[in-house]
Amino acid sequence: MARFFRLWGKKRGERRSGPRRLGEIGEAAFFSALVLLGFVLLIKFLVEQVGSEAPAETMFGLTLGVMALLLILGSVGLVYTLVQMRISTERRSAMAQRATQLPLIRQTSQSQQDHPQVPQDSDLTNSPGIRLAYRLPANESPLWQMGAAITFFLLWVTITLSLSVAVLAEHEPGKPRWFLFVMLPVCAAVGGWSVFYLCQQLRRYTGIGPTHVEISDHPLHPGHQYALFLSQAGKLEFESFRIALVCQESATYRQGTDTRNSTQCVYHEELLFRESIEVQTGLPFEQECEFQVPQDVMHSFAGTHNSVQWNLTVNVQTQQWPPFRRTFPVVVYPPAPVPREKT
Amino acid sequence: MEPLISIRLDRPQRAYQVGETIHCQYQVDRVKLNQLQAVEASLLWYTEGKGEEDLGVHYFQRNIPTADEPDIRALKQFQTTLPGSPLSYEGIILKIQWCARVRVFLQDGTTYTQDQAFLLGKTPVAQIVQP
Amino acid sequence: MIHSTNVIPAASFTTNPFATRWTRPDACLFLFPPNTNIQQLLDQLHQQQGWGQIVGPHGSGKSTLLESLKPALESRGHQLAHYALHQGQRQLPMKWSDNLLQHATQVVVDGFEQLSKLSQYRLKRYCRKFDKGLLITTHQPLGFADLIHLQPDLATALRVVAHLQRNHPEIIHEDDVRRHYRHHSHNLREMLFCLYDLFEKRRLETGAPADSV
Repeated sequence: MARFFRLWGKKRGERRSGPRRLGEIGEAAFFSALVLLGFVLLIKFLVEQVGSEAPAETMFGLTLGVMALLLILGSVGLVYTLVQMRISTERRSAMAQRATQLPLIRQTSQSQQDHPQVPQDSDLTNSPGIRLAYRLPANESPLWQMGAAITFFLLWVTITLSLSVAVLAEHEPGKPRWFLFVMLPVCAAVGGWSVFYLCQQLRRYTGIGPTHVEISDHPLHPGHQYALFLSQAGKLEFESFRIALVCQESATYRQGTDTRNSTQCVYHEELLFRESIEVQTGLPFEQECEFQVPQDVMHSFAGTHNSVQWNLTVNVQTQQWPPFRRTFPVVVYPPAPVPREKT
Repeated sequence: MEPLISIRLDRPQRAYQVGETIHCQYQVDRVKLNQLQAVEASLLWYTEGKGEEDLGVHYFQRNIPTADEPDIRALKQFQTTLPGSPLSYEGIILKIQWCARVRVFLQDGTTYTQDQAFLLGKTPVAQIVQP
Repeated sequence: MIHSTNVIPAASFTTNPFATRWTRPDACLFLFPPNTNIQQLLDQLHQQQGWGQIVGPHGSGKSTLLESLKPALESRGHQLAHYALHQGQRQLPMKWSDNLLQHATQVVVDGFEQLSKLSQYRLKRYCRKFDKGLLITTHQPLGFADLIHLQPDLATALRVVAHLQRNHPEIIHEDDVRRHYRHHSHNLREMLFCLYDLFEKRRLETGAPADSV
């Protein structure tokens, strides 16, 4: 089959079916077209509604919703594409592979029978790594924050523009609509703040960049040794970079109207420490290390209200940004039973 | 007068490992036969600490008077293979304890419970860590 | 830096008397203020046709008092329908057709103020219509006849701690209670949570004893 055109494919690493830059430009153009189409249709629709003597009442909400959706999809896609351009090819390949890969069918029922109350690790092992066996998902995703900022910005811009159009179209000399005139600067002020916040989030996301952790095997067993691969992208200077293996107890208590969550760290081992490192765009900071899970430790436990959680935590202090932490959950199984000596 | 519930495990040290078989004997005294409604025996784990309690039953047995076995106070026993988890754990805000539990139900609706704790696995006592 | 321990675990771990197992409302005995007892409260509730409010701040023992009243109400022949509401629970947690509610003579709602005004009105109207008592707990008075206002003081806090530690060596002292009670603005529940942590810390400092079989 020709490499120029494929119906489906599984790519990994450097393999591509066309020039990378061309693909990125094409994606950006597609999403830009969506944004432009959404804006044009929205403005046209609103002007028609305001100017018409008998504005259409039916389908107004649906039409507005469709246009807003075009705007949102286009903008999110455009921003994502622009950000993607800063991500290494390895990570992009892993993401593409994850999207095309069929979910693995694991014998989870057997695992659950053998180790009740130990969390299942299927969510942690469904993403293969580039260098090591598995790529671990992070607990927190900065994309959510940025997605919320984008959505709010778009919605508010739409509202402000609609209001502006309404104010201008319905303005009659000598009969000012004071309510609309008062609302307009308020809406504009909130819109200005949303632009500022969005720019801040975008700058932070592209500046700090994603943290990528891979592990040689999972789940973890006491006494066993494992390899770790870390990659921190972005454009920043580290004052310090630490990764640690942490065990944390967690308890939830709910009584009446009070809900209380408590956590307690019961194990902390620093696996890696580096300082004074500069990361450039396209050249992520990468490290490999090995660690051993101690022999006598409590395994991962998940109850309804209580849990014992093991995590790999990455703590970074930078000069340009506030310190940040990323947490990558892992599952530690109970130790293998030791055969009892017969007496 | 409260019923006297006796529970005995096969190991005096009450320490077991994963996959081993635990043998438990129990009986109920100081109660008349016609006062008893049922006797339940179970092997379970529960949590204790700062959170709400979680509980998991690994083995359960309920005895009610039948024609073949009218006296449910008599010595009974059961055995079961211990599971892989959760292991006994003496943490800081969370502790996991295994026990054999016998619950006696009387005809008037009151219940009495007796636990015999034991250890599953050998997880060390946790220490407070300030990261 | 690695933290580990080689302390041999005991067959039965050292119980913390401030664990929720012992402090939760249905496990903890409600210690009545002086000159008040459960019979007086029940008599007063009866005089108020089963309607009343237990008022008190967070952690003052409202739910614990309710749990103490419930068996006493049942022993006086009441059939109870008890509902405990959590934060943000604005709707009634049951249907009007529920058997438990229909057959109840006394409805008990813990956290009544969580309900929306409409739900509160509907429940009150339902209970009046079908001649059922309605006993609630609330942080602020809600217009019901008062049953009791709970305002725990240091003496109550000391009594509670002494009661919880009655089967344990005295690891938490009066000074500890004074300090934590003041620090948590008279919230007994928060104080007990902190005493839990203090108990654990001191237990570890003195070394975990191995239980003898």
